[in-house]
Amino acid sequence: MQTYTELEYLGLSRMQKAWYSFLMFWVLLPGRLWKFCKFIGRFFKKCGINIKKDWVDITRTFKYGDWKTKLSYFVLGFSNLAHGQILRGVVFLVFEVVFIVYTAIWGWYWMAKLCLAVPESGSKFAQTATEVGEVCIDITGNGDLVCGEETIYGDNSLQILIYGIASIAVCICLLITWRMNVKQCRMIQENLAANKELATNKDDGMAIIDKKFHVTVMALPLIGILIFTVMPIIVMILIAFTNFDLGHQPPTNIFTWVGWDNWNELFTWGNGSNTFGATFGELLAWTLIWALFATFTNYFLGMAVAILINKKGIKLKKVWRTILVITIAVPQFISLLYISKIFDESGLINGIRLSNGNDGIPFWTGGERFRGLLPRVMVIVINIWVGVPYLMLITTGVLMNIPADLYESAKIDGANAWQMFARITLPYMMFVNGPYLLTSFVSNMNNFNVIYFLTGGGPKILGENAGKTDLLVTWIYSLTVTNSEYYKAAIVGILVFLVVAVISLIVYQILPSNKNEEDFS
Amino acid sequence: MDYSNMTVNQAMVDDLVFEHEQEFAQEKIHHKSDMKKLKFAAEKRVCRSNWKEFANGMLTRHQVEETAIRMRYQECLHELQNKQELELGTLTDPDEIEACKARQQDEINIFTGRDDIVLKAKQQKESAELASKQKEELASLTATYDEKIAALPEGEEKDALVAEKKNALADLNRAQIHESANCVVNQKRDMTATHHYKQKQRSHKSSLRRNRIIVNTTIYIVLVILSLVWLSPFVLLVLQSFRNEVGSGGEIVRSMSGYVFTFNDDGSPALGWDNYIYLFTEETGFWRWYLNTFIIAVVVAAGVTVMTILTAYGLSRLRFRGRKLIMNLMLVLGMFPGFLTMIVLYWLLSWWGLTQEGALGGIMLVDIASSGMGYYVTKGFFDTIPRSLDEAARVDGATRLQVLYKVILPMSGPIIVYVVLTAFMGPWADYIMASYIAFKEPLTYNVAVGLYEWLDKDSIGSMFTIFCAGGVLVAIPVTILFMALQRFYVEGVTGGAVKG
Repeated sequence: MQTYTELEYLGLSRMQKAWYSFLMFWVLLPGRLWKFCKFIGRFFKKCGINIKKDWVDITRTFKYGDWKTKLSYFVLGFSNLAHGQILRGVVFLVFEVVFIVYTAIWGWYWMAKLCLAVPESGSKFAQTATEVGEVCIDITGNGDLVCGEETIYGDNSLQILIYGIASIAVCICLLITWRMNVKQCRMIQENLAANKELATNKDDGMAIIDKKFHVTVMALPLIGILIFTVMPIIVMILIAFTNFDLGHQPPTNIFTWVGWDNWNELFTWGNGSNTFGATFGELLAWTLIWALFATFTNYFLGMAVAILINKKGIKLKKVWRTILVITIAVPQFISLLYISKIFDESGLINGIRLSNGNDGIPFWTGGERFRGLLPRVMVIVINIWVGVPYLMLITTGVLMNIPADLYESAKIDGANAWQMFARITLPYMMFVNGPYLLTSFVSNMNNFNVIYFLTGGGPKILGENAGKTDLLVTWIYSLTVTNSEYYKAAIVGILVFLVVAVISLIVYQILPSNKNEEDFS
Repeated sequence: MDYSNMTVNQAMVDDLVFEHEQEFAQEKIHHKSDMKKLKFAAEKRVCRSNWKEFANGMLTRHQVEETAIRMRYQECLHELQNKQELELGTLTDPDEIEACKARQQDEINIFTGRDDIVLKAKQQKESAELASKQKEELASLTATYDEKIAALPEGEEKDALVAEKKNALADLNRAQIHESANCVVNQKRDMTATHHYKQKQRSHKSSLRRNRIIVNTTIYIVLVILSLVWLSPFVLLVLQSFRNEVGSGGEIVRSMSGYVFTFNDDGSPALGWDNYIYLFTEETGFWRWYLNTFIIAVVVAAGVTVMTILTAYGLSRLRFRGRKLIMNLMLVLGMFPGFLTMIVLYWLLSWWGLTQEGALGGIMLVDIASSGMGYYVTKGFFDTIPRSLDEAARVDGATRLQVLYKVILPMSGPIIVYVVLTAFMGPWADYIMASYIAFKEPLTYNVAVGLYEWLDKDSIGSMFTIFCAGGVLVAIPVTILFMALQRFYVEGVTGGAVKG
């Protein structure tokens, strides 16, 4: 392949430049991958070095510390307390007590059961399912036995999983606290040795709202996110490796680890079009197509409407905008549910057609030959109705920022309206809105409301309880709510994440706003 | 003015016509009016041959003037052509004849108002000279460097010299691009000063004016159609909610219908408040749901605002180790489908007693706790507040906490209203989480779940219009609130959300 020098590259036309960049991307790809691998290698090496440094630090602090420091290795916060730093010492001590109490009373139980073993294995920590057994007791005392049913509660697998993860997290927190405590001890020793003053309680109190304010500010949101977002995601990823479905639902039944079996099930496409893998493939294709259409039709139509309203000489701009914005104000479930009923079989439009003697159009169940085509088209069209006002607002803001003298000089050069749009407006908008389009694409891939309220997943004719207009996210919803097949939902969720991550990474590299901030001429 | 001895060219004709058009437009005189001005023209400017038409009052002074100058123009053109023929006839040398012909063509061009052709030829020559000069410079620079490089042996010096050559070439290229760009700009400016260009602009403007009216009318029609399309579902919804049709058995028909309007047997339109009265009098649980949603919305709005402001302030203003890590982590977490967390959280909340009967608490907890991830818009807004304000406050001895509530918050009014508004409107439309957490416990449904259940296959026949009425009752306060605070919403969306 011919490589150009920098000067020759500058002399190429636009198409040639684009083609050349495209080819160069593939030529350079092996080199970049190799550099990436080296980067990862260096990262692990740095991690190893840091760990080693930490280890040396800990052992040295122990060796060279005085008795207070050595005691602090077991009673956290002792060194701080002994030197008058009440606040810090008390915090460390309280943390240690809480963590140890928790682990001693509950933590060890959950973590031990976490292997989720079945009773056959004979391990001491195997789970037992809840059983309903018959028990006969002698109430009256004269030998008459009264028999009844008794529920013997066994283990709750899900509880074991969740609380087990939480307990592991608690242990990790304990470790981190211990490490911070060691750092404190070392700091105290060094300050004493250098005859510097230690931080007083008043300093600590002030630091909470000043120097260490970031801790105060980020503590609450981060705790919330850790408990309510990170932990569920980790648990769901683990559920993907179990067999948690309708037949294995706690508390009556238990579920166990199955390892990679579920993933094998996903990738067997052999037996026809109703397998898990085939359904997943079709839904993935439809999700991507839907997201593409939804994002770009909304974007360009929204931009067109914004340009129309924004044109010089159009009066009542605010009125037009307000009318369109009402769509955003009304809660989506009302408008979407109502629209879905308008197009229903016994709804408004079919009713008018029937009363005029025509046949009804099966909007939501699709025609005989291409079942699913008509619902898909309807969904995309109605999504335009939903999305254009929002896009219009966004693009109006950007449109008003384009410097007007660009247009004037173009007019002097004799450009007509279409050329001005294609050469000035469009590149500018794509440049500014590039990242937004990516976020919009991703959120359309996860757009639950529109699909669920309009079609409920469309004609449910695919395998595994999926429908023709189901997105991957609505499929997850039906898998959990109607079928309770949690492990399948978990697998699909992980795959959605992978797809989104890959797409985001690729597109983000290609976006022009990533490369050159100023030069988009 | 007497044109009989002036040298007139096309430029003067065009300018005079343009001036008359302006006067026409300003004075708004028509052809056959204003006898006083005609009389004035007759005394000063009339040309002999037009006297008869003028005397009959058929021409205005403008037309008389224009005719006079056009006739003089023809005379001048003939004079010029004769002069040029004579000049050409005196020459014998073929080169001289060529040069003379070129010069005469230029004169004719300037006379007929095409001075742009003359200018263009000159400019093309200039550009060609500039291009060849730049090529020479580039070639000579490359040659000098190549000589030096070829003279050196392999090694560091050679590499350094190669790099220097690359830099020098790039610099020269940049300077040349700059120079040629300047040249183009100057040429364009000169071109806009020619008469022909100005004439084109004038005619362009008048045709533009005509076009604009047509285009604007089309746009208005399109906008009206768009408004109808966008408003029609809501209009239909309201109409359906007022439907008060009495069926054949004497009871009210509440199902979906194939018509919008219908008439009763006695010819009056079947409209009435019946559906709303149903909501108020019958035990549907609708008001319970309304109250639930309202409580959830208020609490969630307050909680989410606090969390979002804290997170956005921390990530925007404070610099700490792990800040980038947290931002990337939140980005990655956002890539997981939101519903996955719901499954696990449902089980967790059910063990804590916050589902079914306690669903209100559960929903509020879940909404508020992970709302830190929605910091993006607010952070974008905080980024636009200049840091100098922060620093001035800190110089005066404020702690970071004081900076937050004394400097940043008073300036972020719009974005706080935006956050409160979106957080308030969220729970009204939230179906997935509310239905999952308050599973099968009608006491703790919110409006979305309740109204959705009315449209079940079993109950839609008897609840459809009630659904419409309920929908209107839910939509009205939310819409009014949104419209009142629309300015903040637009500012939040366009300001914070879009910055790349």
